[in-house]
Amino acid sequence: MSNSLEERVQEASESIKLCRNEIGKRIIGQNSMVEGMLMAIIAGGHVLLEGVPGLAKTLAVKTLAEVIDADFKRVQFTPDLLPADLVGTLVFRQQTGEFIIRKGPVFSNVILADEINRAPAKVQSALLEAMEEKQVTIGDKTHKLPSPFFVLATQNPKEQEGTYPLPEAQLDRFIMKLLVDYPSPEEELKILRMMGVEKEQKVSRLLTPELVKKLQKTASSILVDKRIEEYIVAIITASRQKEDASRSYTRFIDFGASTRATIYLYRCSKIKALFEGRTFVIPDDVKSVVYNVLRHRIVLSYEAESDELTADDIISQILKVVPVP
Amino acid sequence: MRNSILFIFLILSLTAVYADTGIRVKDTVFIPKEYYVGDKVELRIKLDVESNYRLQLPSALPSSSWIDINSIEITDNNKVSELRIVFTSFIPGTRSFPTLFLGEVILNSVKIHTSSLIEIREGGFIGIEDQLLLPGTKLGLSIIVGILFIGPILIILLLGPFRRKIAKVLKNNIGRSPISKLNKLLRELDDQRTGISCRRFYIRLSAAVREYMSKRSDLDFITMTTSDIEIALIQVLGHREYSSMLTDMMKLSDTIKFGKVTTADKKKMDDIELIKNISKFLEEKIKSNDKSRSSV
Repeated sequence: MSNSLEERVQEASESIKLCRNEIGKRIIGQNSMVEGMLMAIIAGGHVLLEGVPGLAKTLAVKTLAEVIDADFKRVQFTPDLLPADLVGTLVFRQQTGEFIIRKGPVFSNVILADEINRAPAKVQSALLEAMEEKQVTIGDKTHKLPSPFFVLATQNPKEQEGTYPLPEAQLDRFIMKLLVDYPSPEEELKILRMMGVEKEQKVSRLLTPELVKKLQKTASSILVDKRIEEYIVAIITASRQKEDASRSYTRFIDFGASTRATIYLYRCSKIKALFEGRTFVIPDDVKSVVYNVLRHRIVLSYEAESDELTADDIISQILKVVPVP
Repeated sequence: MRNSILFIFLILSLTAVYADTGIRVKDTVFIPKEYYVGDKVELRIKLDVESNYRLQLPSALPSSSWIDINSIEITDNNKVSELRIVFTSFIPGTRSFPTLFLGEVILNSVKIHTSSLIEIREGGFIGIEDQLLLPGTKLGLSIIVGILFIGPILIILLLGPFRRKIAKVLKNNIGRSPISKLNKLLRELDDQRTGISCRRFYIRLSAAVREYMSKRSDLDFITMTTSDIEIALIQVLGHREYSSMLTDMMKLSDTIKFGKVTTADKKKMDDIELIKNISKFLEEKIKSNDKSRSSV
């Protein structure tokens, strides 16, 4: 059984490497973003990408959708968007005199919700409900969404005027929040040389829905020691501590991470081990995914904001007080 | 002694002043006998009044900046009248009481002596005095402070089991240096090498390395993962080969602890030996650093 798991892990690790290489044909650098998106797909979660415009967020999602060999739709969120534009609506057909269902773009395997914070709350709510339930109701009928179903939402941290920031409860439904940063000068040079002349780079459809399911199954077989489980719980509970004088970071947190965070941190740690070609999780795996899983789940206090501290700063402080097994 | 002389002087002066005014002061009583600035005092003067004189209460109470006269009462009893004056003096020393107009009789130049709590020095400004304490206060404070400081020590000395426990904690944690603690654990692990599971062996070994490194450097190895340790070791040891070897050992211990993998007995011995050598190297490095710092 152990050998079989090792073989499956090696096979899965190779498949993931191939997918990354394929995405790398179009996306230079942004390894953390690409890894995070692949991780979320295997974990069966949705991703929120945050970064300034022009950092290839949309291109990365489109490329990923092409590599997955799945149905892909892009929805540009605007203030005048309606829930029906997203989930679909009933249309009256004059010839037959009956209402027929017109399904919206949400009925796809991969959805790119571009600039999700530009649409009003009711539209965000409609999408987030679909994300959680994996089904939508149009008229009096409930429709199941296709499987796999992934939402990759983007938002711009700047230009907050006229936006509708996602509330904490809705942010919690994203398995990860990935921060997309500027590429390094070397990567920028590679991008310039590759994209300087307009030409379409073809990518192969490597990641079939069947392969995604296989990867999910392999990931669930990854071993997690009792001490690693306790380490995960210790990190989450440390984020919930209130007014503890021995832990200075507690004054910077209004609300700690939810139980959903515990589950996702556990799942993502397993997938990280799979990415590394390991059959078991080590503390390094937990630490490498903890920022992506927790940064949108920790609600910072006014004191943290006045000190210009980010959620990542607080997570670093939390990790400095939790002993590693 | 000084107060007694003053008291006698006051009595005599009162007697002398009123001898020729148709009244005679028979007795004078201050209640309380000795009084200080701000105290409310009752002065009772017994007067032997001749029959053609009559005592009357003044229409208004006399006033002065240094004294408050609160009330004046007159009681008559068979030619002997008693004057009861309640007053509060605000200036220490001997002063003349304000003149009292008691009908046909005028009572003036009554001397009173207000005592002072502080010692009166002559000449120059008097410096700021310490806070006044009631007699015996200093002794009380000394006893309380003594109990507070000596009490816990006495309790510790008296309670045997507690004392032994403290001694044990001090012996285990403070008395022992990080290197001797590590060496003790390495000896224990060497003895138990075949007796305990591989996983248990590496859990204890890696924890001991983390604790030792934390105590011998400014970095907290307890909250570091193996990747973090890899970076930190280069900084702490400054020896590429040792850093790499110790990192490999920590990686192996991760595999054994979390991956249910086992290793040969020989490997355990080698790892104990490696940690002994690295700790010895680090101790020497710290010593030479201390020496060079003190010579500078």
